[in-house]
Amino acid sequence: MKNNIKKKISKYKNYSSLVNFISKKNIFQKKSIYKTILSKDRKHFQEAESITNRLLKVSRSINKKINLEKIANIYLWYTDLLRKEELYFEKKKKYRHKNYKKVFEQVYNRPNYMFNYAIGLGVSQLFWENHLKVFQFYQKNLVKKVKKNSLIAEVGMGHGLFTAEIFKKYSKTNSLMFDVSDMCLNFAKKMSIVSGADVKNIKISKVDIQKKVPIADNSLDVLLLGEIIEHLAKGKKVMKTLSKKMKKNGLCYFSTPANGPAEDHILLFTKVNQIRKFIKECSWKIIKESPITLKGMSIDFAEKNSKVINYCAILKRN
Amino acid sequence: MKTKINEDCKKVFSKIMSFPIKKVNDKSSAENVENWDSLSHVQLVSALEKKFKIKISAEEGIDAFNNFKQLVTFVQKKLKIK
Repeated sequence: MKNNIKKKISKYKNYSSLVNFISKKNIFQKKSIYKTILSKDRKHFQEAESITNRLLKVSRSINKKINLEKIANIYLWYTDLLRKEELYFEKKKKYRHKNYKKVFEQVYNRPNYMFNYAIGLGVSQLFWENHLKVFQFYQKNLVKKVKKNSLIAEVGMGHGLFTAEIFKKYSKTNSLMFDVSDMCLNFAKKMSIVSGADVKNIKISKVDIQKKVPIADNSLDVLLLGEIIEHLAKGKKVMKTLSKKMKKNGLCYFSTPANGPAEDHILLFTKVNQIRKFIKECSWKIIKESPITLKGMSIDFAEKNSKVINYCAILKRN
Repeated sequence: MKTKINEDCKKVFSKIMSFPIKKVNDKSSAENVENWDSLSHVQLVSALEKKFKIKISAEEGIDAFNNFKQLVTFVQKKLKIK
């Protein structure tokens, strides 16, 4: 590890080890991670260490053999998967899959695969500039505004770090977690617990939200829809139904990519305006938004050249 | 033929990486070419396909080459030039 990098992160033991394992094995990751590290301060590294520790703890509670080197390998597996999809998308300008059932069988219905997926995605939260910006947007515009004793729900749990962020603030928040994968529900529940949640306040439901939305109308104070809609075949129907579940002033955190290929993405947006239109057509209004690009690209350039735009927003029901 | 391929690879590489063509050599790699990252690698693979009219699957494209020498060898193999 370069001396200036080492000096910046050596205090953060697990984060530093993870960086070391990844950097030794992959030059692209090394370059990108070092760039991120050089631009960050102490506060970032404290949070990164906390996320690393929690990811390690949760992963180990599911599989005792997991250690930081294995997490690094899983992350590199995950980045390889994404790069394959990026190459596919660069050539075809479309996502590989259109069929939800196929994706369900190949991805969501495989517990070990989903375990690795949750870890890979979780680690991306430490290093990727776009994921870091999205998380900052979420913390600033949603977490800060969540009130005590709120009823929150998240659909598509993944690693569970987003709901966990609310539990860090209020350990007694009431949380509903929905996913089609038992593994992700388990992972996310554990993530909330290691982040301070009281287990009594978490209710998990294995459900395909496209078929059934087991939430009472006008009941939710907060809804998290981060990176979920692009995974669904019936996204519009789900979004419309979910709007009815919100209290009048309830807040929804929403994010989805334009031109963001992944093996389990079905719904392709190519422009930010398509996403805005989609939201409005589903009975939501946009309170705040932030389309994020890589390497300082303009939105216009990213759209014209089919480059990824991470769109995130705070919504209220119409 | 081999020289022509080498020169064409240099042109493609130099353009995608915004790297001076005169500085491109066998040892040019992600370690010493600043702009060679995972995003530009995707563009490089796509540009090689177009330039040489070859097909590179997503699976082979991600780790077919890590330096310029390997890149040229890879293209030669694809074109079946020995």
